[in-house]
Amino acid sequence: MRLERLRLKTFGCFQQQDFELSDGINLIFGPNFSGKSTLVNAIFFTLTGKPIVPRVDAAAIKSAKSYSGTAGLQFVEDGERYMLFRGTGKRFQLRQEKEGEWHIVFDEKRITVVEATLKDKFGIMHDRLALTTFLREGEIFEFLARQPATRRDILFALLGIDRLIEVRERFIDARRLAKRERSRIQAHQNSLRFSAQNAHKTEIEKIEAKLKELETADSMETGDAELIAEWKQNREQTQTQLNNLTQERTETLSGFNNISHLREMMTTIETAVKEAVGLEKEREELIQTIGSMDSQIAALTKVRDTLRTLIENGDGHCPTCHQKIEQEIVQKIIEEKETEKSQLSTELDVHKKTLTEKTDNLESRQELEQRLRTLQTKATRLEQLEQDIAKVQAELDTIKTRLSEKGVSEGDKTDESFTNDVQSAESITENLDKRQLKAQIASERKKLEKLKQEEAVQLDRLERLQKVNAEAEQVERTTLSLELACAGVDKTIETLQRQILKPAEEELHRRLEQMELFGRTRIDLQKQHLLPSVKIDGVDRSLMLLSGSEKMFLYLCFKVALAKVLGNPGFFVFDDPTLHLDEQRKTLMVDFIRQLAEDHQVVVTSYDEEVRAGFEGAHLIEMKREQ
Amino acid sequence: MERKIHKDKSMDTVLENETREIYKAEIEAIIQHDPKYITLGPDEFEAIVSAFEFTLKNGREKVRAQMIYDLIQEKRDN
Repeated sequence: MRLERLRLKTFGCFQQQDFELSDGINLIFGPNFSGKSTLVNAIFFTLTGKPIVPRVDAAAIKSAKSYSGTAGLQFVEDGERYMLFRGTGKRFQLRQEKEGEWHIVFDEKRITVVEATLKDKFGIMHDRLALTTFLREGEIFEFLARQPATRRDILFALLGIDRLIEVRERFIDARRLAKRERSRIQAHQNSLRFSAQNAHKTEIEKIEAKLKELETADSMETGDAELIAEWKQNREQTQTQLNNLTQERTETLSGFNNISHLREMMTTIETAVKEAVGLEKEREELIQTIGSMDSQIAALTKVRDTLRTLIENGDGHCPTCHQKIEQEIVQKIIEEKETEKSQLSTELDVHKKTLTEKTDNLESRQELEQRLRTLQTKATRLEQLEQDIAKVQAELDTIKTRLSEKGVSEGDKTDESFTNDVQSAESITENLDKRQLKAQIASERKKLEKLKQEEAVQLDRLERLQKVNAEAEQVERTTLSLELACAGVDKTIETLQRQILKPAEEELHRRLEQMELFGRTRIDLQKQHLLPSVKIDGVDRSLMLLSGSEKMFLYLCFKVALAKVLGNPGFFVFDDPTLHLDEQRKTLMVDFIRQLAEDHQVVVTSYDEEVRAGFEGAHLIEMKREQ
Repeated sequence: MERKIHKDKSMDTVLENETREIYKAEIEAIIQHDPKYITLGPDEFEAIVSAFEFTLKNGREKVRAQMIYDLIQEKRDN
């Protein structure tokens, strides 16, 4: 970008004035309060919409308020000539010269759109421009006084690392989410694990063993006969219960093969009912239509009858207005009314037929809904029955196994001999010990049953635990992945910083050596986030111990180095860079700027005659203080 | 590395690609040096890089933490 002209209108202390700018060095020369810094600000304002704020701080730059008035900047970019205007009220206009005439290419008020356009078209970003292209008066001291965190933010914004910081923030949030999920699952795992650890298996085995002993003792006392009789009785009772349940199931199924068959039918009915939704509304509409048609037909009949009376009974004149009646016309009207009535009647018949159908359908739908409700009740009952049957069947199987162990086949029934045996056994063993033994057996059985129920619940938990374990493993891996993702972003930021700051360090080093200001110097920009760490002749030197002029040179070289690494629009603007420099250092600064101007356009402001003399031959813009 | 940002309008894309490659290399280096991550496989690696690209491209405003979490979880599951 090569600046050609600056146009100001009611901007700062200028009413309306143009300033030509040329290649190489442009020296804006004049006393204090002559508007030198306003010109520098005007260039910055036109390009960014912001003033150069008195703090080198990205947030402060962004929040700074705009100037009033209008500033225009004419420049050449890639061989094309542009004029950029910016005014109060955020108005922005870009014009391009084509065949000697200016054409508006962009006219906009929305700041974000303007910023995006300038970035896209000319690579202009205000924070970058502030640090790499413009040197505001006294900027160095404020920059050095910044906190490391502020400088780090500036650096990240300059290097485009702020986007990576955003990525890192989001990854950290995601990692937090994963950790939370992991904690939740771990808690679930622990609760299930605790339940599973408390499984009653050992206790069940113990009780079973004890029960066996008791039963053996009991059978020794009473003989197997009584026990077997009891089991047989249980078996028959259970069998009866099972038969009853099976019978009920068969009755409930009533025509259906099984519960799946029943569910299929329910689905079919549900579909039919869904399809019939809206029947009431359609029927209501139809009834209304029929009513309306009935009224129309009645009205037509009345008109027809009146007309007939008129031509049949009258004297050929209207009884109301006494005008003569044209019989042929009235006859024709009667015929038309007849035809209309006939058409309506036909249509009415069709509607009535449809109404009958819809009424039938509605009744059918209501019947279907009733049927569906019945089937739903049946399905619920069937499910319950299936569960009960399974439970009773299991009980029956246990009893059968026990009987089988005792050598009793399924065909053996509780007959009289067994009953006698039992009675006989009872009579023999009717004493206190036996009753205690029985009670103990019953108690142990009850305990065993309860434990087995709990065991079933625990087995279910165990199954769930296995699922949760698998889920926990997944979340663990996701957490680990996100940890790696975060670590990767940190490393990427470090690498990008290194990659960009290393050449900046080298450039800075080269510039300082050219000046021969410090002797053998080593610069490290990475340690302190842009704050140069200086080692002169092998000794670490604090920046605070450098003189004002040394700091100024160091900072200027740093700015030029950053400009080289980050990209520069092609010009530098320095506001009074020789301020507070002695004669020797002023010469050094003039040489430095001259060297820079070999491949850049430079705009410099000064009130110093020595500087003016030093820049002899440069394009001079002489300013005068307004009285 | 000299960056003439005003010359190249597709710089964002170039930077994104460059950053992605650096990120991939850094992740690989971390996996090799830290045994903690040795259990993670190529699916996880791919999922992480995809999540990174997605977040870099769409920015903080559009990307929620849950989206990243799901992206890594789902991609790996697939």
